[in-house]
Amino acid sequence: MSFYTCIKTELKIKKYVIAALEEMKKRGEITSFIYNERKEKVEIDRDGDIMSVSMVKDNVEIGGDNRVVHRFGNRLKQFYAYESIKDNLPLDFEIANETEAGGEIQILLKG
Amino acid sequence: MSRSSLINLHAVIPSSRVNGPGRRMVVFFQGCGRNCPGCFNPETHRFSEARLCAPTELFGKYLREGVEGITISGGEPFAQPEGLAELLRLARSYHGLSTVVYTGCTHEELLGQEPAMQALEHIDVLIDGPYERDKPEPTSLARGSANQRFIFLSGRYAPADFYMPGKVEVTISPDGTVTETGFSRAAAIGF
Repeated sequence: MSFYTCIKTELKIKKYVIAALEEMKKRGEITSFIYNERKEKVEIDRDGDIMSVSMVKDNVEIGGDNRVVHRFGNRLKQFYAYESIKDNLPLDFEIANETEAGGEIQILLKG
Repeated sequence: MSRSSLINLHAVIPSSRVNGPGRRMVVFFQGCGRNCPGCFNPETHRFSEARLCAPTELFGKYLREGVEGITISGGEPFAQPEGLAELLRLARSYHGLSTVVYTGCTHEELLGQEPAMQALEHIDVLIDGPYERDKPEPTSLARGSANQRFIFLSGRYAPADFYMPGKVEVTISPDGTVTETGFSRAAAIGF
């Protein structure tokens, strides 16, 4: 039998939230973001839509216009998972191939 | 549709590249009494009803364009032989899909058992034998342990078709849900 597991991504760890936002910026999916370390809050600009991500302990909240915040939140979760997976790969595994189709990110690992 | 043709389902992956040749829909059956030490999927062992599903419904809901075949995993597929046979029959006859089935039984154990024989008629490749933790598959062959055999029941595939492009496949859905499959655990460790 092959292995199967399914995990719901929860935004918990600050460094992966920031890494996810960096990746989104690199891909042109957000315009910019500013992290205020004292307030533990990130302000995000996406083509003039302003959103915020508040990170208090392991509770992450996304604020902003309801029309865009849900979609943005899901995309942020995708990249959060992506960054977390890349950072936690066992030493004997490496990424062989990455694709994105139909909104899904697929990663093949060689080990 | 008789109740025995319904499948007690654990999960479905609509498209995978590491569960047999090409892109494949993967169906994980619920229920297995074998309890192989170190089994990849202990959540699939209990026989209590997880989700009952008619085979036709499965194709309607999950079959994607470009998928070459169906792979049945589990759980133990042959613990539900009527549902398995119907699913495989539809896969081949109505959808033109190739069929690969993983089982903890041996081929010899299945031969002569009437409901199992009906399922075997519709299988291209059977990967048989229990998972043995002390014999992990060292290559990218699509099997959990090296004792398991690839039994080619039709001419559709050859052994070389079962070397996978990766050992593990991770899919991150648009809502952030992470699905991991393959013949090793890797990404889930980080979560």
